[in-house]
Amino acid sequence: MISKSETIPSINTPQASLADLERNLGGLSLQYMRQSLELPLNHEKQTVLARLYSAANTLHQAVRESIVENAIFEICSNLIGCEQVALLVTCKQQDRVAFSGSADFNPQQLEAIRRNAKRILQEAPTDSIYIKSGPEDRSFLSSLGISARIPFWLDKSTKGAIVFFNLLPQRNGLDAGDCELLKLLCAYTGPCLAANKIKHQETSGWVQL
Amino acid sequence: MSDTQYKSQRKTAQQSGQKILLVDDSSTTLLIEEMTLREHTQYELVLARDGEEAVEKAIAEQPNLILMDVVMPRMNGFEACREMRKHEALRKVPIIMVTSRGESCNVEQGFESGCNDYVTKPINGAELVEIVNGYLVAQGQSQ
Repeated sequence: MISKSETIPSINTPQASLADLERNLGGLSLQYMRQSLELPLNHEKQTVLARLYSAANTLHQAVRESIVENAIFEICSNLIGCEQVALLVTCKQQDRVAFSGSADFNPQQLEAIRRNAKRILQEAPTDSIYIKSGPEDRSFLSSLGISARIPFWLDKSTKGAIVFFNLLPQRNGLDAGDCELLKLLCAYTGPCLAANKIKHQETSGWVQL
Repeated sequence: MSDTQYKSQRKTAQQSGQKILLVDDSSTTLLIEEMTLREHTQYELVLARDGEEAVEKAIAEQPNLILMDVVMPRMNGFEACREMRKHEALRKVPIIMVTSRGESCNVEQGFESGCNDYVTKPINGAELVEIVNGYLVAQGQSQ
């Protein structure tokens, strides 16, 4: 498990304003691209940096075009290898959870998410990345078929989580490179979703559970 | 693959002036493919965002190799592959499918549609360059 304090020291938590967020993501994307290009292709970090560049660039474009949810699902599918991804956001005033999911869930999984959404968000540790530790993992999250759960924040408070269910068959588990991508999503999902809402007041795709 | 091998293959490609058509509706994969191939090879790159555009560009641009996603709007990768194979000029062009699903049924479907090879997502830069060079260096040498 990765604690919150260990998760994002290398990533500056974005400022609240839209312009700052776009500037921050644009700069980060450029930085990852430069670092990736400096390394030979057979260097173990090269592919990780290339994926980080792609993720930061995709989020940057998504904030501009207000397609943040789709961008997150694309990053999870194409760069991490998980097509069953749920976004859960806490709605404190109504004591409810809002859900938006990628297209690949079956009805049983959707029902499991609906019934357990609050517990998925509240299951400890709530402020750090959970990654399934293997077949021996007997935690509640693992029992639901969850491979990883990453919290996201806005203004220093937890707003929700990205929940990864089954990984694609070619992925045996999440590795150190995937963790770097999860940290990026951890830091930027909250501000990007907030920016999306600022730009477009609609909430299509979200379901109240 | 060693750096020396990369440089040698890069030089061969540079001399041959070969062209690759990259097809993907998602920018996440396309960004990595484009950055990797621009920096580590000298092939000319042409981009398309769906199957229909891919068929049109393949006919117009006559690429030496096509790297194509499977799940795309308008026309998927398998359909585009079958469509391309109907054209005499594209019958022997290597088509590499980029798939998120590496299960045997999906791979078989790809080969049945006429593709030559496949790579799975997430894209690994070294593997991508190796497979692309494997086809194009051989092609360049036979010309």
